[in-house]
Amino acid sequence: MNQVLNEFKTVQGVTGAYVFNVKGLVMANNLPALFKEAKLLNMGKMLSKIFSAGRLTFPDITEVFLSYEESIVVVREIVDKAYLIILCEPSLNVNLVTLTMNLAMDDLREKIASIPAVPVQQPEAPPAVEKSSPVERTPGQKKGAAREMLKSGPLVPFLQAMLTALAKVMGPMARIILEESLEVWQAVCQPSYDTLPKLVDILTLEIKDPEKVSSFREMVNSNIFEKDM
Amino acid sequence: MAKVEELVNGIQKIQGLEGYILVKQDGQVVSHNVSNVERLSAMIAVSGSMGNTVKTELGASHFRYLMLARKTNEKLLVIPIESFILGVLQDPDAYTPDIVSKIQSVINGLRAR
Repeated sequence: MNQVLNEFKTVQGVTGAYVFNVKGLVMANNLPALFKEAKLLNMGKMLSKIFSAGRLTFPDITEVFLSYEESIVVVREIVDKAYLIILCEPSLNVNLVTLTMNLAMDDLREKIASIPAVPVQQPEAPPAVEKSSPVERTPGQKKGAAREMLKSGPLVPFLQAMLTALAKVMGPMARIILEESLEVWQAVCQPSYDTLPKLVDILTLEIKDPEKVSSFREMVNSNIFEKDM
Repeated sequence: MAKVEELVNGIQKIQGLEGYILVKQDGQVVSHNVSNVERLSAMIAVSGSMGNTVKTELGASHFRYLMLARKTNEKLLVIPIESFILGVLQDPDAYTPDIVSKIQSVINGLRAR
């Protein structure tokens, strides 16, 4: 997939591009190292939300274009919930990039289809997780499964403790954030006590604020992991 | 409020626009001439806010505008203006840089006073 992305770099003014999947994965990336993975994930989440918000009003949206003083961001959906994101200089010839996107889109679809649900890179360095494959579910089923996980099953006490800790740093949005993160957690690994640290990593990407992340990690460590030792 | 009226009057004079909606950052509608105002106001507020967050992630200094392009070639432009967010529906035949430039001229004209 990086080979396809490299084609964009031949266009004058293109800084680089990446492919983002809403499950929280950067599937390919040829941006300068200055663009860290966490930054790309945060941007990807925001850009995919702009796309989704736009679709609620205009279902036929094809492209999102953001113009900043020092750069331009172009976003296009490759397949459902996977986006091509191109970063460019303000001097960019937009038509040339659009043309290159049109030509590359089929190749990107093929590449994504050939590697279903296999991330090239994970968000941050995750702790060891179970190797069993996650179960494929529809979005509705995923949300339902995430809510159910908070109500019943062996992980309830740990997840409720996590919710309490999250509420202390994120307020009333905590439950929504946890449910969304549970969906991502289920998508990338098998939910179990052993993979809880991975859930914590996913949540910290949502919290963003370093002080709140630190506070959340402390609460989780003392209330879940250390308590259970 | 006088400046809001002047802004709206200036925007309405620009050729190539199908409609406009001006909202506060919380999505509260200040002025509009579109039909689907509820959906548009929420979407514009959310897009404007997230465009600003992307600005922070990018380390950029100024968020100029956001454009949503449709299959019909119609476009929705979202332009932050201080504590407001302006959304404009652009004709399929209009050229976005020209439209943005004209809107920016209206805004700059108001700021200069």
